[in-house]
Amino acid sequence: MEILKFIFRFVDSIIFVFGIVIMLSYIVLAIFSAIALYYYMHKNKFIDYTTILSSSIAPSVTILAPAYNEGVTVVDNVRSLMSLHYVNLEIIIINDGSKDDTLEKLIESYQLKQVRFEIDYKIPCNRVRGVYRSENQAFQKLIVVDKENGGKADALNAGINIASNELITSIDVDCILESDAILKMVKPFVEETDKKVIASGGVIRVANNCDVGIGKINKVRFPNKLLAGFQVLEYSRAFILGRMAWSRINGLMLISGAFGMFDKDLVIKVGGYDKSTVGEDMELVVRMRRYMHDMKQGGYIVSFIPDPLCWTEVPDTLKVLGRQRDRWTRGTMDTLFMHKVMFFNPKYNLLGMLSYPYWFFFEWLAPYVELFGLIYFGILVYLGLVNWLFFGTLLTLVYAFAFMLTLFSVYFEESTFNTYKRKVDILKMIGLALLEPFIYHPMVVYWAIKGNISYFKGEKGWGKIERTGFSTRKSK
Amino acid sequence: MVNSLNTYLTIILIVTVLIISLQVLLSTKLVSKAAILYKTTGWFKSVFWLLLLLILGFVLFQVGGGKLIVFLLILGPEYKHLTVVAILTFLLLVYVRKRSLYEHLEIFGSVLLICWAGVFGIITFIHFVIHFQLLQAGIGLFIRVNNIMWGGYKVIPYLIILTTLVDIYLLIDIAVRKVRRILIDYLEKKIRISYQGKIIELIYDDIADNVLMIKEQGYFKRVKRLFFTRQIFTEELLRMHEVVLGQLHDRINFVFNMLLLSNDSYNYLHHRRWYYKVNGLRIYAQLGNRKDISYIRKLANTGNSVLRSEAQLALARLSEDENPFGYLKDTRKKLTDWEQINLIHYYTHHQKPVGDLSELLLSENDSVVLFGLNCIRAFNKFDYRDKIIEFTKHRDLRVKNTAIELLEMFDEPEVANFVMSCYDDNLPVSTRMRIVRTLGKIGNEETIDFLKQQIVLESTLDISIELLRALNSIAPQAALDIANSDSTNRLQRIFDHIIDN
Repeated sequence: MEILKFIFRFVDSIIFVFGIVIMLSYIVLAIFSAIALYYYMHKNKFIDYTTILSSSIAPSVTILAPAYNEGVTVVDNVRSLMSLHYVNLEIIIINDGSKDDTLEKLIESYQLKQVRFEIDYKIPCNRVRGVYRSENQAFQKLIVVDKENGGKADALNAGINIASNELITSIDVDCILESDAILKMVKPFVEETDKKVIASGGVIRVANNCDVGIGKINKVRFPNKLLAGFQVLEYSRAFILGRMAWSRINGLMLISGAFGMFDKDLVIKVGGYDKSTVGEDMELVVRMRRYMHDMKQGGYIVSFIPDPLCWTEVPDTLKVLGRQRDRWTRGTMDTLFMHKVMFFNPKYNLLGMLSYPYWFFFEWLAPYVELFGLIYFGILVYLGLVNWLFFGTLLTLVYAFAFMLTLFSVYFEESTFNTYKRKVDILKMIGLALLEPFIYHPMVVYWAIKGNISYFKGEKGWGKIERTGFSTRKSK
Repeated sequence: MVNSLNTYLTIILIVTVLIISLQVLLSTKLVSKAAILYKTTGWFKSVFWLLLLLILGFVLFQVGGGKLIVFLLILGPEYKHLTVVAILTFLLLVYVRKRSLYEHLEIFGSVLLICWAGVFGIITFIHFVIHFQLLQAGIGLFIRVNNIMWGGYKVIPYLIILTTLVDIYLLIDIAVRKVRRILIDYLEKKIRISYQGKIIELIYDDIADNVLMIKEQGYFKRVKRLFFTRQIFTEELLRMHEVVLGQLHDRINFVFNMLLLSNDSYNYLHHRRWYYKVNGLRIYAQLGNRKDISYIRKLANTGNSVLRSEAQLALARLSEDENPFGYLKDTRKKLTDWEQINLIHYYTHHQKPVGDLSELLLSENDSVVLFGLNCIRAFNKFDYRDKIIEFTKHRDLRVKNTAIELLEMFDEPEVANFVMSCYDDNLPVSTRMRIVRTLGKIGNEETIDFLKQQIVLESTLDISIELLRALNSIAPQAALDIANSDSTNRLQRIFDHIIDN
């Protein structure tokens, strides 16, 4: 019995320490994020981004937007891209062997004509069937690439092979970008001093229930569905608290595939996107960073822009959201296992000693710890060993802390970009923050565990993605 | 007990109704003035808070033996009527706000609602503590929990208290910020509109009238006295300064000095925080104030990139000499592309002469040299041919590539020959591409053979495309011939690519 007690106490202590460390890490991230946001907001007040527009020094940018069965939305989405403010811009839409009428709609809407194009396959990708350009001068910067299906990473690689500009921006074709999004993303690259800027990431915002005009967000509203609402809080925490803080200490390991800008030469040097993983966005950033260390290329920066630049519609059904989270978990695991050499490896400085271990313990292992905790708790209840007062106290702490963390992100949001102008939206956010630990968080843990099982079962697919399209939707 | 509750609810009800009635009765101007006072003056703020505290203290003292509103519904029938009264008061406030009975209720209603909720919250809490002995119970629970917990776990109750306090603070701050933002936006808009007209009057009227107007009208006394108002007035004045010309500039400078706004800009410029300095720089630059030029020169080489860039722009505006970039001569810091973009944009936009660029080109700092080259391109300076040729051998790849690109400005046979001589298979692809592109623009008969020769030898697709493109632009027939002569069909495909793209 004594041994059993000792074991229980030992396990209690381990879980407790894990919990305290994870909480502390969140607090530290919140502090770093506050500092970074404070500086950024002050700095941003004095910047006139339009000066970049008229400059011949500003780098040229290629937007890469892979499209697979996007027939419903592709024409509107491309129109949104065409309205972006940037002079030296090229937009490449890669039709990744769609089975629907994606290509036909593009050809018809933008008066495309197939051109003879000699491609240098610097990065391996599936065969390109044809390259199309518009006969209409108004769409001169648009290039459509038709290729055999090979997945998102393969499509992006094909786009990189065709891109002629210095910087590449990968986006999800169904996203809506703010008109000054490219100007803001380019800024870190032109601010480069002794350290090379290798990539820049942007914030993804939830567009569900927003008023959407042709290719732009007219009015921001909080989602009217519970699941999408929870994701607003989740995205806000992840981007404003998490990534902003990691970028402050230059430890960012993930730039969302929905909107990220990269140095093209470096992407080619590291071999482009990895086709074998569904987490190609994170994997590319980690590989680029690793390359910089391995090749002793000197100081480098992975930058992050906190402005709301990219809007996307998040899944609002359990089925689709579950599939997305399953995929994200597999992507994270892929990246972590592929680059396991970095784990607590001082050669990779902050990346090896802090960023990687953080992802390993608190992003990948945390759901396991939670699952284990539940099982362990069940055993203790069965054996009648639960100290209910202690349990209640601990639960109160975790709940109050989870609420505080979300409040921090709402607070940062309110005091910086103030995206949600209506008071009722803020009230909704606070209300959902109170509910989230009981309703949404268990689901996220469940999907993460499911993702782990899928990974070990060897599943590689993306799962079916359904597009409804924004097309000038007005919310009530 | 019921009586004391009655008292406090009645007081709150009366005060609330009074405030709403006052709002409705007060003129628009008076309300906005009160709001401006509240926002802008230190003393008013202090008195406001002091009064608020006194009222709160009084209310709390009065309700010592009462009960909290939420519990009224649960506790029993004797409190029902009071509950109804309280709820009705709340609903009245909501109704007034919703209907926007008065323009200012949108703002004041929010403030009032929060005050109302705050007062009730505090009363509720106090009653909770007193009547239910929550405090004692809480402390008791805390001690019990602490006794049960062992070792390191004893920290948990403290953490709960701390976290809850932070939660409460954040909630209050979020609410206050939301209301404050609305209030400030409204005030700012209102003040701005009122000053726009006044500024126009000021700068178009006679100077003597201006002096009188400024000295005698209380309107402008407020500008001097109130920081918030002064800030907006200054912004509007500067905005006006930007759109008018000639004599009107002097008028604005005169008004600026009369109202002692120059003191603000001085304080801004010498403030310890960088973003205040930037504000100061902008005002100095806009008004052409050269008083602190040596200090601004110092800031142009400071470590903070935003401040540095602003100081450079201020110097660009204030410079009167023929060498506006003199301050860059000794700079060790890298001049970022962003700084270069801003400077070139300023000179291009304002069509200001950049003067002699030799000093930039002689700099030890590669980024300054690069800036010099970028200026040559932006302002079409044809006097630096020899220097550019020199830079094609520069150690810095960007300087080297830019120099090669710039040679396309000189469509001369000897330059084309020189560019041809630069070509080397060991050079980076980016440099070779630039050489070929430049040749495509300034090439001559002699270049054709060189290009033909390289096309056959070159295996890198990107360079092959550029070579054939360059040849095609100088001698289209030669490009077609060489493409047709290729038995592998490779050059034919490249040629097709060039034609189609």
